[in-house]
Amino acid sequence: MSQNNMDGMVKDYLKKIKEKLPEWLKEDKEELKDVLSEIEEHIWDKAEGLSENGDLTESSIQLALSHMGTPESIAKEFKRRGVPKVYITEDLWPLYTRVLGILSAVVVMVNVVVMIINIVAGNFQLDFVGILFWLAGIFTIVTLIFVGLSMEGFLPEDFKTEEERKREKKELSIAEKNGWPISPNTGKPLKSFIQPTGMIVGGIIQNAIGLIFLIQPETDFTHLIELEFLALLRIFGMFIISEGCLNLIRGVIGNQQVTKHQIIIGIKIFLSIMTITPLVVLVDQPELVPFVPFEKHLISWTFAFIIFLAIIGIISDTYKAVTLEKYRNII
Amino acid sequence: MIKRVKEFGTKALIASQEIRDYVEKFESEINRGISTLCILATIDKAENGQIHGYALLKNLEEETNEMLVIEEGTLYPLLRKLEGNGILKSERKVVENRMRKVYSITERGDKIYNHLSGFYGKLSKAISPLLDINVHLKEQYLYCPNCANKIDLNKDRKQFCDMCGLNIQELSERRPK
Repeated sequence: MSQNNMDGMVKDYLKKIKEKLPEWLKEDKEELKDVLSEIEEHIWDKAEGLSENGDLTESSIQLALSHMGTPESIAKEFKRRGVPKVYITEDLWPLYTRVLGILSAVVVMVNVVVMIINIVAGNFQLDFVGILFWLAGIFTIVTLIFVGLSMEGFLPEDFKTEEERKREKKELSIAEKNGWPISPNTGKPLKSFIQPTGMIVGGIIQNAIGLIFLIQPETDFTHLIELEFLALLRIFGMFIISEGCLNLIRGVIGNQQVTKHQIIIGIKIFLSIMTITPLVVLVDQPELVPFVPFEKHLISWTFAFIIFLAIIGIISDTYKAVTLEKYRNII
Repeated sequence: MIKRVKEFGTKALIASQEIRDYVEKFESEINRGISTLCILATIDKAENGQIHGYALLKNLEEETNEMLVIEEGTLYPLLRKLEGNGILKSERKVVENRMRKVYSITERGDKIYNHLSGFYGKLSKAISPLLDINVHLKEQYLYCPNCANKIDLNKDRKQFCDMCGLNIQELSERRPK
């Protein structure tokens, strides 16, 4: 049997393996070359070991290939990466939920904006079925993509550049050296969830503004302002002082005691909900606002927008309180 | 591992495809974790702590009397995974007149291997009465009472367990040198 024929048998086998290998491995040309050359070395070694007198024959090559297993089984082993979690691996799960969350938020936001535009244009109609349809579509497509990626053995690092990988490795080694918290789920260093100094400074400023609203020092203009508006300012002042105190407490606690932070955020959410009532009063009675040379309906829309921002703030705070869970038992 | 199925009586339980599938799946589950541990053990015992894939499989089969057989092609994805996890490292060098990729255990991998081998040893010992087998753990090793990490007393007598940090100095001193 000629050397060419035996070479052909091995090359053919390697070609079949290459075809079956996962995409993430095929994209890394150097790694792919290394994988195939290592398998090829093994086949020649094995064939030599199986042949009599160490002379290679077609049958010894054939036997060596059968010992290697099918190209499918080899490729399957390369795809066996990540810990299975339902049909999506545990490794891809955080990325999956993040992509799903971002796309869902975009869909909801776009639909809300379209609704607002319709309301402004006097064409008010609620289209919840449309939103649900979009969300279901996104859920199905994103889930199918991630199930496919999990089956092919993709890991989150396969989507990163070499530079990003190096940077993350450096960040991790710094975190390990300094004893900073590291997420058990992602293996990445956890960032501080608050900036204590910023919280304390912000709290002090909020308290100062709140106090001015609450005390309302006598000025030349005070008598020109409606009493109802002054009462509303006092209410806002109380809310601002309360929130300022909560931020001061969070700043003093620092990046520890997760439960206390979650309780404080809970109180803050309650206060934010309470703030909406006086804002609704201003949407309803824009004439109470003094010294503003705009049309009444524009003032109403401004306060409606502030309510919208308050709702976004409530959603954001709820998200923060939930995500704080990942710091539990680490800090 | 059931070999030479066709040579046995047709009434054997294993003649049933269902039983065969069940047994083979069960064996493959048992083998999966043990294979990785045995690969690490074979590399650890290799000359200079370095070995190439083909020699690794050969040594493994010889050491286990061909009881633990890894499908040869699946060895390399496994080695790469261990390398990716920082347990193994590799380099290309000439061995037996041929350029080969040789693997060795990293410092971190050595600590993980000691822990896994300690855990498996202690587990085997603990379940041995259930399976009516005898397991003898060598005296030269101290098994951390907290995490089962295997510590070679002939190599060094440490104050703390590498894996869990337990103070083992007293236990270590009680053992004969």
